[in-house]
Amino acid sequence: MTGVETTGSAAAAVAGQRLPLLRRPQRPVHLSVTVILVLFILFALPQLMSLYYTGYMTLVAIYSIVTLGLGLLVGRVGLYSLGQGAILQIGAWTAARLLFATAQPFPLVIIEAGLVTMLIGTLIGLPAIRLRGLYLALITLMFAGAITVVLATVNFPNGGRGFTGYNGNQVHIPPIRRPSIAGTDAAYFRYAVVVALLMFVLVYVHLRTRPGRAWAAIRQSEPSALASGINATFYKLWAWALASFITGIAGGVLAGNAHYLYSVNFTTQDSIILLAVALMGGVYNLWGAVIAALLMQLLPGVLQNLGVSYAWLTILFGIGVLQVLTTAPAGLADQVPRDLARLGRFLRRRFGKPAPAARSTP
Amino acid sequence: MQLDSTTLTFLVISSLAAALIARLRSIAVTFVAAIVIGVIHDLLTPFTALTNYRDMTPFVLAAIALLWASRHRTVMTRSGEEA
Repeated sequence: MTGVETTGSAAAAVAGQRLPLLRRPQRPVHLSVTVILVLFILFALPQLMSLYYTGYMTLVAIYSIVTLGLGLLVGRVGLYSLGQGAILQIGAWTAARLLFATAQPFPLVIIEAGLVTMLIGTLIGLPAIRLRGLYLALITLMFAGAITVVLATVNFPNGGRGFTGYNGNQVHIPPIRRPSIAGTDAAYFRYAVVVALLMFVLVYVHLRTRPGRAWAAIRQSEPSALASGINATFYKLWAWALASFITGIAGGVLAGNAHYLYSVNFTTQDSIILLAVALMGGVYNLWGAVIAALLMQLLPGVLQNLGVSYAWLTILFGIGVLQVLTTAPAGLADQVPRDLARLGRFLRRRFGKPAPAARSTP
Repeated sequence: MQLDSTTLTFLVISSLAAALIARLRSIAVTFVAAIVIGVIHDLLTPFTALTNYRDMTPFVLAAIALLWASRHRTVMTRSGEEA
């Protein structure tokens, strides 16, 4: 009766996975800090920021959705994708096309863009199901390269005629419209944050329920997940579909943010940078997605403000990935709190016993 | 192709296609694959319908090769472990 034995241990493994997933919301401090942070970002931050940083923070909100999807694939299911930049381009293209072609409300358009992207992303994921590890990463990179070449030729829609919607003579180009409630940059920032929040909730709900447990089992051991009756192919495709859906929605919000989309702004290396920052931010933690987006989109803005070339970031990301692979597999989201706690312990030992409030927990 | 740092850094992306066709195992096959990719890429130039898409050649060929290799079984790195 080895079958029964295997099922038992796999079920135990799944149950073991369940505990850490359930533990998180039971920390009231964590939850209240999150709520306060969200309220601060929504209501106070747009007033405090200059227009320059509002633009960059909107991009952070959008790209946090992309890194969330990538973190889901890499950290929760163990699928390394180097094609998320291309998925984002598909979402942005679809949303721009629909926004020019129809008069539908903006939220409906980005959901449609998400669904179209989900379909295409799942089609890409379908053959990739048979590939593992390095090969999966490389074939998704090949798809990303191919899609970038196609979009460089087709161009992003700018109100022209035909299927591609591209107006080649470059005069009287209408901007991609924004939702009526979020016309200004500050309002659009809030809009992007709300969309990002909804996507984080969507992924969080997935992780807390059946798919999350199935993904955890698949990531630990696919044979044992299969043995315990989990349809690995189905749940892997589900992960692809969910990641593509939220990335497509991010693309839709990106289209409205940019007003004008140019294919030269989207490159294949974006996909590689995305994986680098997602790993640096931390793929086992939802906060990691936010940190990754800050690294990718806010740091260039800060450096540009300081007059430093943001090309240095490529080197920083390279070093960061090496550091993640060698010493900190869970990325900054895990490492920074741990190191701060260690620093607190060190200071406590060094300077006797200060009042507990003085060394507030990170 | 232009000479700038970003293009040259990420030149590796299209070069990877040749290595991928050889399944990362054989330098000789990689060499042949790279030459075949280059020849097909340049042969596509006169076709007006395809000429703008000829930069896709390495990606499409690598994808076809990998999908062909995985038609019967899961393709993974040599040790059988996740890379």
